[in-house]
Amino acid sequence: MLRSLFHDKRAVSEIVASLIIVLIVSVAGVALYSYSLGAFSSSSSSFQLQTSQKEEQARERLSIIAIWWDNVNQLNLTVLNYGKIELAIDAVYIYGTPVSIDEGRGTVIVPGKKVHVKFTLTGLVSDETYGILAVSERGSKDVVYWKA
Amino acid sequence: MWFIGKLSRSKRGVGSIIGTTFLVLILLTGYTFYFLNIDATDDYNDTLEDMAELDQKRNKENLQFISVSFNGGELNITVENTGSYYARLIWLGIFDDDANTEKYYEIDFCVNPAETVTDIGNDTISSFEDQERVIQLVTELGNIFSYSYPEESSENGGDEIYDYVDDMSNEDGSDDKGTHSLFAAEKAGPDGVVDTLTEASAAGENVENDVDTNDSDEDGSADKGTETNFANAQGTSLDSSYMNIQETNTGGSSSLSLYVDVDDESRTGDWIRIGANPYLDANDYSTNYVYVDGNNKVIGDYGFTDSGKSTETINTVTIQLYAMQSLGSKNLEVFVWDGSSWGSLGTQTTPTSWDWMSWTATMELDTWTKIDAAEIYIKSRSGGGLYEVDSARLQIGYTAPENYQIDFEYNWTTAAYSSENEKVCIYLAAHGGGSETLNVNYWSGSSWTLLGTVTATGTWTNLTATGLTASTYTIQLIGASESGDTTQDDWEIDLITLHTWGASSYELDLEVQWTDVDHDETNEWLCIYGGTMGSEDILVDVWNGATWINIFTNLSSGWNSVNVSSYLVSSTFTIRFRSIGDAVEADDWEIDATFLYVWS
Repeated sequence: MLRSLFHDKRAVSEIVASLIIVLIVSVAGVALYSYSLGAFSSSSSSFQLQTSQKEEQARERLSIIAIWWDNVNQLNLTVLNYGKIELAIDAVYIYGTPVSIDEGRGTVIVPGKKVHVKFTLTGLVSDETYGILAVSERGSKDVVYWKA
Repeated sequence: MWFIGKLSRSKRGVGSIIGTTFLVLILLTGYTFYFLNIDATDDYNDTLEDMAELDQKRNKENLQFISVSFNGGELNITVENTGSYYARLIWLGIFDDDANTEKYYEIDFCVNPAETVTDIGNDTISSFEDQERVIQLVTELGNIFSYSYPEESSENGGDEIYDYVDDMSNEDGSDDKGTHSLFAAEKAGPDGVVDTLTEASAAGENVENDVDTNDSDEDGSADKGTETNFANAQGTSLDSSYMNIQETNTGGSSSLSLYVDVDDESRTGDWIRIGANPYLDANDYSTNYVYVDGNNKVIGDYGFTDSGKSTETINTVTIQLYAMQSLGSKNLEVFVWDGSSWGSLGTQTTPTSWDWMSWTATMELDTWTKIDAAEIYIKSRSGGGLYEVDSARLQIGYTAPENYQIDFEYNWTTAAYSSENEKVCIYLAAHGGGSETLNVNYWSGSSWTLLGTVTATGTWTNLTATGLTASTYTIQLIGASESGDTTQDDWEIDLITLHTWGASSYELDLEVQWTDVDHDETNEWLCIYGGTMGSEDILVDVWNGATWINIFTNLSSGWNSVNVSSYLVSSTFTIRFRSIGDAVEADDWEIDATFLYVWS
């Protein structure tokens, strides 16, 4: 019987062919699976990152609760964090024009706490109303109209 | 052998199983990531709901200072929660305007709705009894409530005046746009009872402007055809009174003058050329002309402007020189080129004063091709004396074939030109004579451009008013067949009008007014408490007696306050809520309270 087995060349070629097919299917399957895993992972990571950023911004709340002028050249905003996530003030605009912040920019404010944001304001006109906009690093904002 | 054969067959199944396994793995992976994304989205939506709930709670917060005093040097603030949600106080601010200082103290007090809480303060606060301070309470939800210490009294005996809005008004004479759900809600609070302002659909401006004049001449060419009762094409509506326009036959006998347009100066002789080439193109002696003294002197060659004709029957062709020779009995000879050869037309006696001399060339120039190729040169044929020639021309008599044409201009001088929709509308009541299409063109400033055609009778033809960019707008009615037209058409037009209108949009424009305001206080603020606000911006303008001035570019939920002392100058004070408007949807905004807060 063994003798006939070793001499049956047709059976051997079928086995080799089958093994090659199995090998091709396996390699192709592994490649396709790896590609799909990468694609799904990349897409999902990007989506979750965006959602996470939007969620963090949604949890932010800030309010300018006081404005104090030092009678010289500096304006001091008191900004309260009443949201559910820590935040930091990144920019202040007066009627759309950004100001250079001297103090308080980037300072982390935990919920329920406040920060003083100071910046130099030249050419202040008495009795003039100023629209002051504070913007957080995540893009949340609050605006107040302050009469000098 | 049987066993081995079975094994090899089963290996074909192994490949399928492996492939299927990978496919299932890929699907499971995709499914897993899908659920991860769904989970992230759910978390985000939960956060949005939480924060919206926080905003709602914030809007419900309201505190009223009952008293501020000192007991044994310790600050004692009493407040009442007049809102519908409990307030947790976390910061106490003390502002000293005189010393220009600002200090915040951490506190922790909870005040339930309708509850009054006393002894709010902080034992680290130095006494400022009877000194002026501004006291500020800050809640956990970000609301701030301020109080001026010591309690101030106004000249009318009150402390501070909260003057709620009185009525709706119409100072600017324009109709309101939008609706109030409950205007009375603005007269109290903030108390959670709101007046919802909702945009209304507003149709765009709609103007039907009938044609103003029929005497414009943008292209510099004469009208063609006959027109009767132009006034019947004007008016505001159809009235079965028609303006009639009818084609006229532009064929028949006519004449044409073709002046010299070039002197190739190939023959100089002893002639003197004065002025600029072509010298003989107009009767403009002594600016441009030629002259010579002597016999057998030649000058040329002169070409003529093209006729632009090809089908007309040529009746007569005459070559004319505008010339003189003061001595008399002096001759000039003219030679003509017909495109292939020169030939003499003979001599003529030159007049002793400026006049036309004529040579018949009907035989030599018997086709339009020869006429357009024609050239001449001139030769003096008598000795002594000064020959002067000022101009030369071909004078052609011809007969044009029958051709019915129409060409009229109509003009608007007060056209609205900035609307979203602009149409030239022509009501053609009847069309007689033939079936020729009437083209409608507009004047672009340099040429006519087709707007469309008018063919249908008993109905409006509406054509987009392309090129309507100024208050002056001119159209041309002209036949579609302007050559070889042997049928005389006529058209009866009831109305020619320019219809302009804008698109509908949702807009808000609601006036409200105070009628008995204390307007001479030192501090005068307009305060508006917003509830849930629409996605579109809601603006607030103040009426200064002549026009509207914007004071809020958008209202937020919660308090919106602005100093209006420069506008509050009489007992009547008017504002309006306004939206820019869009065609997307009707936005709405909740206004809980609207009042003027004034104090000395």
